[in-house]
Formats: sequence, C-alpha cells, structure tokens
Amino acid sequence: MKTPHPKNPTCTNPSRSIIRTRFAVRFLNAMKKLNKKTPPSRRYHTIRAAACASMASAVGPRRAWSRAILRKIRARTLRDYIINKSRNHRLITRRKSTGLLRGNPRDQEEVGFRQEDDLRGLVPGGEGMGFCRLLSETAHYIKCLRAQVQVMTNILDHYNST
Amino acid sequence: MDKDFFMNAGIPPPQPLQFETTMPVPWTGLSCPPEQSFLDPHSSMDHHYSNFESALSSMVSSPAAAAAATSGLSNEAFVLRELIGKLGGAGSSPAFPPPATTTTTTTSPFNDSSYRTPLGSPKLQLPFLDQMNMPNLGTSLPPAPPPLPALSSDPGFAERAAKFSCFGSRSFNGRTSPFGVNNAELGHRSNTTLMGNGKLPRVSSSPALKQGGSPLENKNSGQPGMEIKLVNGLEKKLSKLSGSGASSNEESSVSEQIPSGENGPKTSNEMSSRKRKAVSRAKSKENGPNSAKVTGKALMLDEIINYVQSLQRQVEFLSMKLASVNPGLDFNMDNLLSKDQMFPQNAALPQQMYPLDSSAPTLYHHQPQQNVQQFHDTTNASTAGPLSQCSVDPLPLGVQLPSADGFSESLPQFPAFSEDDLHSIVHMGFVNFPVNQPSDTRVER
Repeated sequence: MKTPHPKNPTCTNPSRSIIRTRFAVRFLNAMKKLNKKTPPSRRYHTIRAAACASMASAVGPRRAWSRAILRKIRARTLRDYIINKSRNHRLITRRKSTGLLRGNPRDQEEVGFRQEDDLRGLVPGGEGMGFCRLLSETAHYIKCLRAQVQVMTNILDHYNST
Repeated sequence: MDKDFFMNAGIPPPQPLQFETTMPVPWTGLSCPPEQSFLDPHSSMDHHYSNFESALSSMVSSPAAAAAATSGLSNEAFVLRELIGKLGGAGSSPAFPPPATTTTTTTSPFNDSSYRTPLGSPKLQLPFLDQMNMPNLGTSLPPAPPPLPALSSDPGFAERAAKFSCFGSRSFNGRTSPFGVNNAELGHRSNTTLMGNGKLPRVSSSPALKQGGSPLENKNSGQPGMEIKLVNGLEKKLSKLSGSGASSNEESSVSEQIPSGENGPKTSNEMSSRKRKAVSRAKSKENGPNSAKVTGKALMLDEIINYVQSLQRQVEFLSMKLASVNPGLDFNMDNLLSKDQMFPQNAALPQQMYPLDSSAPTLYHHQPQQNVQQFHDTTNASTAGPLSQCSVDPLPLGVQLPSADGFSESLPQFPAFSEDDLHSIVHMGFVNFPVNQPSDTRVER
C-alpha cells in the first residue's frame, strides 16, 4: 500500500491523497447535480450511488472492483434508459434473474471457503477472480473506502460548521 | 460430504411413532417453543437461544419424571439424534439441518426439502454462531461467547450428548461413519422426536448413562473412556465443518474486538491499524485454498470481512447524513476553498489548486518568485486565506515559467478539468516536496 504511485515514483503518501482529491472533486460535482433534481425521498440512494460511482471513476479502470462498479452502473443506466424508452418490464425481470446466481445458497463443502465467499460478496467484482487477486483487490478497495469515508466526513463537517 | 449424510442417508423410521404416545407433560414446554423458533430460521438469535435454554432446562429437569428406559440402545440413539438435531437447529447452522422445520408435517421425517432450507439461510448472518456452536456441540461446554449463554449454562447437557453419541454409534455398526450416521439419524429423527420427546428422559435414566456421573462435574477434562473419545471425535468433525477448529472462539472474539465504528462516522485509529495489519497479512498470505486450514488465515479473513463491512456501513451512514443535511447547499467550487482546510496533511495540493482557480491568473505571475520554503511553511497553515494561499508557490521555482503559463491557461478550465489535467496539477503540487524532482515532463502532461 505504501508503494509509490506509478505517476509519482518518489512520493508514497500522496497516492492516497490523489485518490482522495479525485474522489472529492467527482463527488462534489455529482452532489451539485443531485441537489438540483432529486427529490428528498430518493436522495440517500442517489448520494450513495454517486459516492460509489465517483470513487470507481476516481480509481479508473485499473482495478477489477472499480471496473465492476462502472460496469454495473452503466448496465443500470442502460437498463433505465431502455425502460424509459420502451417501458419493457420483461427486461427488468430478465436482469434480475441473472442476479440471482449470486444469491443462491452455496454448499460449504470445503473448509474456509465460507469466508472467502463472504469476501467475494463484499468486494465488488470479486466473483470471477482467484483468491490471491481477491486479496489484492480487497486491499485496494479498503484503501479507497477509507479515503471515501474521510472525504465524506470532511464534507459533512464542513457543512455542519458553516 | 457431511451434508450428504444428512440428505441421503435413507434410514427408515422404525420406531418414531412410539414417541408421540408417550409424551410426558414436561415435554410440551420443550416441544412447542423450539418448533416455533426453528420454523423461522431468520428469527433472532436471542429468540432461538431463549427457547433453546428453556428446552434444555426442561430436558435436564425431566429425567426424574421420565419413564424408565424400556427399549434398548436404538431408542437412546433416536433421542440423541433429537438432541443434537435440536442443537443444530438452534444454531441455525448449515451443517446440521434444523429439526423442527418439518414438525408441522408430523409423519414425514424424510422431507429432504426441509433439510435444505436451512442451507439457504444467509451465511453471513450467523457466521460466528456456526463457529461457536459447532465446537460447543460435542464438547462439554467450554466458555461460550455471548450469543450462546444458554448452552454453556446447562451443566449436564453436553455430557448427555456425548453419551448419547456413543450409544448411537454402537447401534449402527454397519454404517460408514458413526457420527455421520448419527447426524443423519438426528436429521431424520429430530422432527418426529420433537413431537414425542419421551425418549430422552428414558435415556437419561438408563443405567448406562448413570456411569457418567463423574464427568458431570468435570466438564472440560479429557477423561479417558469411549465417551470422551467419541466426544472429541465429534468435536473435531464439527470443528472441521465450521472451518476453524479451536480458534473459532478466538475468531469470534477477535471479530468482536474490532470496534464497531459503523454507528459513528469517525474512523478510529485502531481500525486503521488493524486494517494495515490485515492488508499486509492478507498480501503475505497468498497461498492456495488448502491453506484455509491454517487458523491464522481464517482469523485474518474474518477481520478483513468485518472491516470492509464496517467501512461500507460508514459510507452508507455518511451518505444518509449528507442527504439529510444538504438539501440545498451549494456544492460549487467555492466550497472547495474552505474545504481546503480539511486536508492539512495533503495541504499542498488542494489548497493550491482551488485558489488558483478562483484567483486571477495575474496573481499567478507572482508565484514563481516565491520560495519553496514558504510553500512548506504555509502547508502547515490550515486556515490560510485565499491570498496567503495564492502567495505560496505550488510550482517549482523559476524553472517552469513556460510550463507555468501552460498551467495558468488551464486554470480557468478547472471546472471542466479532465482526469489527465487533474493528474498534472496534482503531480505538479507534489513535485515540490522533494525539490530535486524533474517536473518538466509531468507538467507538460
């Protein structure tokens, strides 16, 4: 985690703040747009989705978990677009059925796979990768989650103070 | 695997129907609440355990009122299976099919679908329950973690379970594995025995069981004898099923030691240190799946999982707060100016970027004359106003006037910055820390 950022070979700490800054910019932009058009009832969900999306785009396509999030968002926007265009609800159910694959109960045949499966469920995009890759993705995901929490906390504190 | 024993051991129920006729009064209290609790695998754990505790206490207290053991070892085996099935049902463990899901169907012990439903219960809900329940099941009550107070408080239950297991294994010599058969028998018998629980008191009063009077006092000792050996075997099997063995209690304790920061938006230092530890250890433990048997890895995985969950909950909590607090606040870039105070450790970049945006590019021309020293000093000043911020030179001195012009040209476009531009700005800012950075190439990105 302390390895130098590829664009900053000598500075190690700034890698975390780079992510923080990028996430902050995107998130604030998203919040600006959200505040104009979302009703208060859906605001929580949209803000959470905006946080995830801005974090994923801040990370970029380098990481599998960010790619998974971006893929999910694009699929969702595409689906919404199709729904809005054609009101085709069969499309919704078809997509939902594919999502059930993850939700099926798995037989815990092997020792220790329960935790691994739990981890795969937590980290986005964790389904189709090996265990070692899963661990590295988890490490990066944790780092980005921490940055996200810090930025959101700072924003909250700022707006609560002013 | 072991689960298959539960599912596919097609054992005919020769004598379950007898139980229904000989149900003594104490068993009514036993049978009804556990049924309700077991029927709902998603009910709260406390509900499970309170019912279970009442069931256990009634079972313990009932030997005096029990009829004498008339039948042989086979009946004891049935009762034993019922007991262990109840334990499995109370814990909602996937390894043990809960017995009471088919109590409504009284005479269908082979309803395999009922055994499968508990496997569908969410794994994450009771992970540590599985870990704690399984070792407790066969052993004589080691100090149980909080979710299982009832089980640990019952003094003689585990001993009886051990004895029942040994009798059950004796009665089925032809089977492949004694405990697999035991558990299978339990799975099949449990529903019927729940209806008629008279066998248990009979078993407890059987003369063979009275030999175990001494183990009642000494629960955790490894006393010699077939009973204890079988208990240990059962414990090992259960620990293998749960996946972490003797460290299961440790795992749960470690998991609970992690401070639950999800209720507050603050990230604690302990969590950050744990996270670093977890991440470093996770990276180092890049072994194959067979290393899951190493208890350290399971511990680490649990810690990682809990940390990720807590972080996600924190993000949700913060987004909720943001949604409620900011219905109409202005999120434009002016807010970022004051937000600069939020990143004192990264003081360089955010502080310098945004005032450069708001300030006129004319101010920029003064900057190349500033000192890097000044820059370092003002990075510590978190409350610097826009002017003082602008007075600090974010760029390397004197070297990059041409590139600085390029930078100033890009400044008015700040709201429309692409990611690459942002990168360039970021790296220009960070170039200053080690002054001898060749930043020309980066600036021109």
